Amino acid sequence: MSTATRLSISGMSCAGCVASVEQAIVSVDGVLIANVNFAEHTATVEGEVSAEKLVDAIRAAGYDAAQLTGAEDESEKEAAEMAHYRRLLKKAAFSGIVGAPLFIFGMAGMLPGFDASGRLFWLGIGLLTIMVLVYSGGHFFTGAWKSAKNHNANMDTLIALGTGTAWLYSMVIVANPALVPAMAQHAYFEAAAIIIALINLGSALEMRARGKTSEAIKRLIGLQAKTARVIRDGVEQDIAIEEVGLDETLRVRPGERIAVDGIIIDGHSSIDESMISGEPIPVQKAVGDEVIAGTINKMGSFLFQAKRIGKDTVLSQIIEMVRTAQSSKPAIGRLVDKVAGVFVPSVLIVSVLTFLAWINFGTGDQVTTLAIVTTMTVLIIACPCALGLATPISIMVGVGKAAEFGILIRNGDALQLAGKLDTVILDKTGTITEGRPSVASMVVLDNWSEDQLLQWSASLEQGSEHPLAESIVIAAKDKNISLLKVAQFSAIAGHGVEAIIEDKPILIGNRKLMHDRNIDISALEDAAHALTLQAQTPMFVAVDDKAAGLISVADAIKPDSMDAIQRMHDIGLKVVLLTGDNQETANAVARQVGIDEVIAEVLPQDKADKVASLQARGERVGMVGDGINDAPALARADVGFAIGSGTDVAIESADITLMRGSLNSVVDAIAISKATVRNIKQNLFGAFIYNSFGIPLAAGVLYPLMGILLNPMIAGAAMAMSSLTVVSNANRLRLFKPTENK
Amino acid sequence: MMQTLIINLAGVALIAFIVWWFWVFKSDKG
Repeated sequence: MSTATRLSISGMSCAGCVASVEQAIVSVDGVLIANVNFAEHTATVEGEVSAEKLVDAIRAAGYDAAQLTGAEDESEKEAAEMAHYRRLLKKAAFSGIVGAPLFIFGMAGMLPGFDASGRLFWLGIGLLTIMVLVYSGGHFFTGAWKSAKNHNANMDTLIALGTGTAWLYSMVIVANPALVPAMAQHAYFEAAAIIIALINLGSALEMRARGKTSEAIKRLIGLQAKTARVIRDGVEQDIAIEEVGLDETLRVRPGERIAVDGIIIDGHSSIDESMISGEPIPVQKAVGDEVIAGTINKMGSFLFQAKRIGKDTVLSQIIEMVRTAQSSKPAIGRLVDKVAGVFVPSVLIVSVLTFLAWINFGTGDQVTTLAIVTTMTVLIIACPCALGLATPISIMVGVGKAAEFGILIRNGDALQLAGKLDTVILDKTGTITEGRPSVASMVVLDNWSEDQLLQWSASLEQGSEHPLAESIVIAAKDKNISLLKVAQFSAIAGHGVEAIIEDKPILIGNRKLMHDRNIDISALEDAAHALTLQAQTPMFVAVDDKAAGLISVADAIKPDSMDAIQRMHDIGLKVVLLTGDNQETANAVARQVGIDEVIAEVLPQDKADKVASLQARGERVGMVGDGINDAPALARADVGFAIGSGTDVAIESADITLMRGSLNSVVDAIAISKATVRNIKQNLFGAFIYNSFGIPLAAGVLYPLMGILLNPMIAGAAMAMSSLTVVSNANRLRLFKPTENK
Repeated sequence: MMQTLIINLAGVALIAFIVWWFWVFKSDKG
């Protein structure tokens, strides 16, 4: 089995780097999938490969990497980011202090010319500027060199070339002003220093804004208890939760968080599970009940046995899933990375063409200066930072936002697709209804009494795992009916069950099963029909090949289902009910909640085919189910939504897991998806517009007509602004509120 | 005139180098 390795990557400065790092990782033997997240500066690698090999490969490509192991990395990562943030600010300050006075005095015309004494002054400034380039801008130059060696180019390449050209050109003028015409004698030291100041400042601000996007994970990690009280050799002791072993006994006192998943073995309590299930009312739990890590014990003190620890707890799995989803890339993001990978080399070509165009077609004394300045400006303005950040940053915020609403999104593709659905298929039991059916009425024939029929039926059904079967067993228990011995039990998938009781064959199931076995149920038909119209599910009972009666089970509709389905209609979705239940019951439920299309009497194994047939009509289909018998259909659908109450982790089979068990979450998930995709598109549009206007402007296309030329410093500021705008726009998603009517 | 010609030739050579380094040579490497 392949495993996922998470690495933190440093030295990635721009979108182009993502492609280089991914390439470096994929070239390692055993790697199946590599996903580099530029916004988070991490890589998730799947495959049979050691972390050391990956780190070596990444280092060879000119970047640095370290393995991330779990929740505890988060604080380390934060400290490292804080230090980096301060370093960037210091670098920005130093270059600003050198650049700003030069800029101001230069504008005021108070700087000397290039005569003998002036040149000495300029030489000093040139040396000061090279200190700026080394201290504040050194990382751009080393980054550019490293990626150039690997046949890649990125933001560093552009900045290094831009500022390097500015410095070199200025130094040439200082050394020998006679080389260029008098009009063109202008030093660009201040431009180099200020560009570096602005870009460093931009990165620092961007980092700060980025930190806010990972709050969802921090909040989830905050749910984990730090210590647990275990009982070892009869003595209670507090230990770190990492040290808790499987099957150890733990004590939980009132008000404490439960440390790991387990089963209560002594005592009882009410437990606040709202963080997992969204259910605000505390749940009563007693011996034999399951408790989940991260939930809060409200009242009593109890003992429980640890059943899932460390990475296996429900909470850890949720954290892992959100983390993986946040760093995953949707189709749109992969496309952008490809574009960014060829973008920078293309810009290099454009800059050379710009230079040649000025040299060949420019007129006047200043041609050389203009050629150099425009080339420099093209290099500076064309950074694809905004392009690289556009997708991952929005995905991070979107996935995190969804997690806050109890919606766990598996990956970026699911997030991108959810907003494009046009049909939603809903399973009935457990999705539209509570999924806790109970016996509502019974009809008996011949000499059977209700209690006797219930006794026989419950005895047979105790072997079945179907929710309807369970309701019959519970009804018998409620009436204190003792169960009989059953032989040769077998389940007929989607139809019913059969066995032998007291030497007589007994059969419980739907109409089709009775017809198949040639059992006459005409005496029960009228009653069955009337019950199905009330959205009840009648199950026929036959003993000794003769109809004995029917047991009718009703499953209450969730209070918010109707409202949620109305909201689905409001956003233009077609809603289809897909159930194994009989046509009349399904119709009755559909009528009650306002569903337009019903596909009933579908066997579990055929549900996926029904999904496929809707897809064949060209519809993009979302399937909502409770994740157990619906698993194939969930997998077949374009987006599978599993309604799970957290404990039964249906997380594995679906693209999106709805922890809150409400259909409203489906609409919320779709709304978040739409908002995120819209946000990504805005970001990409912004980045695209910025570059398509910025580059020609920088190249000086407006100069011959209107005399407008972009100052390289303005280009530096614009570049910093473009990334900052993307990050701020993505942060806007954090204010998103999907549900209006809760 | 001569100077412009040299600059142009150098520019074209530079473009050719960029194309070779970032595309041709890179895909040769695999």
